[in-house]
Amino acid sequence: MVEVKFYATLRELIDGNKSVSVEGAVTVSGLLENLIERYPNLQGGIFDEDGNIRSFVAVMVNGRDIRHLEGIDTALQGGDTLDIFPPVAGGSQSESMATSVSIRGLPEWLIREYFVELGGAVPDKTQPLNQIVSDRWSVTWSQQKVKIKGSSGMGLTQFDIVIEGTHESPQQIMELFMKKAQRGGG
Amino acid sequence: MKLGGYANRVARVDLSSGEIAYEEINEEDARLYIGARGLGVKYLFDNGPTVESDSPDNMLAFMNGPLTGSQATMSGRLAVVTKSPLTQTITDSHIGGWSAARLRWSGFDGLLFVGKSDKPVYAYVEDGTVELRPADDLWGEGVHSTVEKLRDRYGSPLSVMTIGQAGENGVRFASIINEDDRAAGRGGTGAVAGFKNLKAVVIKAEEAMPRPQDREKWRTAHQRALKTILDSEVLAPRTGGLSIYGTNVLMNPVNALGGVGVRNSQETQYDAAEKISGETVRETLLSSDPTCHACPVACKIEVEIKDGPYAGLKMESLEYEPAWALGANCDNDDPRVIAKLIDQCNDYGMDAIELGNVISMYMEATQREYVTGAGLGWGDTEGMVETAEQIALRSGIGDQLAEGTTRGADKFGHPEIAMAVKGQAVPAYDPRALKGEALGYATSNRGACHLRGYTPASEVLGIPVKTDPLAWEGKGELLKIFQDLHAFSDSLDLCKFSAFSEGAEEYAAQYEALVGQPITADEVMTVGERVYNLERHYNNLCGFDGSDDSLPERYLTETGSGPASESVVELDEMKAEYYAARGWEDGVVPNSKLRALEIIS
Ligand code: SF4
Repeated sequence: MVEVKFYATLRELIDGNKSVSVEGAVTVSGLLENLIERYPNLQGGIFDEDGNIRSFVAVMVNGRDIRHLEGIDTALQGGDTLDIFPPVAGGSQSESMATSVSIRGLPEWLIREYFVELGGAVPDKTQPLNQIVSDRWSVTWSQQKVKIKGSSGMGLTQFDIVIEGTHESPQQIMELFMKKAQRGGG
Repeated sequence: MKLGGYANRVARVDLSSGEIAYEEINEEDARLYIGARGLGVKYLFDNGPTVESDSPDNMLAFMNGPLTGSQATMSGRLAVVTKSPLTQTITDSHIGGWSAARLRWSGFDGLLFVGKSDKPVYAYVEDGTVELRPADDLWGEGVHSTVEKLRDRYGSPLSVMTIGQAGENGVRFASIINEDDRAAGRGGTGAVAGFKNLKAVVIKAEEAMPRPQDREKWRTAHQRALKTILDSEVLAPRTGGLSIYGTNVLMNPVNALGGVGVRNSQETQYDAAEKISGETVRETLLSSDPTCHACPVACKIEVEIKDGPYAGLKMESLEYEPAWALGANCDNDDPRVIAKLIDQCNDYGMDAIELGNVISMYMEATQREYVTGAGLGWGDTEGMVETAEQIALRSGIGDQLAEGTTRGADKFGHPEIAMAVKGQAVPAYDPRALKGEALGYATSNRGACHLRGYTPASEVLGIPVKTDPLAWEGKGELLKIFQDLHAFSDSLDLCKFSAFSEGAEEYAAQYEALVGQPITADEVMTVGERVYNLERHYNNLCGFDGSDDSLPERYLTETGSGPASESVVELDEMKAEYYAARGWEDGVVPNSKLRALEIIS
């Protein structure tokens, strides 16, 4: 099973849902076909008249843009996550734009600290723990436990982070966040 | 020098004349290259990149970083830096344990050995002085008995870094062993010590941790770094995979990816992986889990063999790398034999990764009937133990194999069966299953190596972001970031595993508080890039260029197994992407880049 997350205006095209699960798709193109069967409105939201993915729609598989993979022929495996972002419409400053990443290896408190260091407001007790807001962007995340394939002994928590920009490019905040979140190992 | 943290004292020991000079650290160099790996490479560079590895002029540097021996978590490390007799490149090899900390506590940032003694000696270090003492009675001894004799002689608290017979006999992949079983394993540093007739470095020192320049900042920086480790699902003491199972926790996941080379990389999935995995070792052999200076993770795996021909053997540490090299790679599925072979490596002083590869190369030569005589069959465990001894003592076939995987295969007339890059054999991640590692092996400045840029963090574990191990696109940029980050942590010198939970910000904060010199996370990455480029520049001046950033033909033309069954390495595409990310021209650092990084003015 593959989970597909939609952002901003695209959510309207899937009955207001945030994400959809799809069974049995082995490539991105098969998955999109399956989705359009279920939500015909998506056709125009994702594809142009020639049947190509619209130029500013970003389809990410496990956080990587399919333009850097094999396009719509990119293969999918059970457990993959897709993110589909709409084009940034109209150039209006307040139009929300979003970008996402899935992070492992960092504890939640550190993710929170990093976003506060990037200008987010220190969360007060009334706010949910998975959210940091600034007057220029906001970020939320969900978490899931992922098993490391083949290993009986190891699982890691993955944080699926979505940054939405209100007055600032979310990609820019993401870039700064990723510099902080970079890890290695040995 | 105004920078805090450092002892600001380095001993330059001329083994030819016996003269010992004490120097301060050049402040400008310390700012640019930090310490340990970075500063060590700078000393080697200033000593002249074109010296021969086996000439008295070659330098053997034992270098601490500014964090070594401090309160910083995982700070018990130093770098041994020299020109490698195996690769003829610059090499640096790190050791844990307590020797590094004791070197700092005895008042030194580093020891630089040049020249060649006419008689075996060891260096005795105490209270800011170094003395050369005769080692005739230790020459010919293995590591274990050398350590024991020196402990009897000097009592505790004592650290011994020594070579065994392999180093004395010029085995090209001889290592320097620290306190019985912690190795500066790769690159043949032990052969350089042996050539110089330097048997050991002995350090007597009580704990004397360097004081941070800014105590307030230090408390915050240290606490945050420590908390990331304690909360890490990889590292957390007694709950993280690395703490419980050691590095061999990776055997099963890497095998699931089709990344465990079998029979000298003729296949890439091992059906007996479970038998030699960290999980099995913990269940059947583990006796304790030792640690290093200032480390709560305690990832070392000490085992005790209870039955079979090696019953009674107690050794550490059964790690993933030797479990692969001496296990799956040679079709040996008995962890007790792996333990025996690692202990031989520790006692003779040899690199277990290179030993496993030289043996598997010999086994493939036997399989293909390239050898005259009986040779060595796959999984012949007794033969492996015997061959290891022959190599260390350079007897029989051992003399040929002691030259390393590449030279050994050349002598059989079949260079294609050497799984090595720039003369150094490959580690435990098959390049066909992990493309980031493929690129890492090909471009590493010290020959095939998994530790220059550890992309399995991303490709296997998804730290910090999961990338597809089989995809090559994007790996150039990914590898560069990993290489630069590690070049910095290696210069501090913190254990590589710290990077599973700490990033450039955490390193910057600790450096800044301890040394008293402001540094940003971006500058951390720039320092790392500078160190990496200085190493590359050193190699360029020795004649290395893009044509040396290569891989054995097998990885480019023969597919692997399991998930890698349709995969070969897209080397040219990856190199182009990587060089573009680095700003290099066919593997050579252009002058403009050297200037931009302040390597030259
Ligand atoms: S993580 Fe392991 S190797 Fe690193 S300092 Fe700790 S015990 Fe030593």
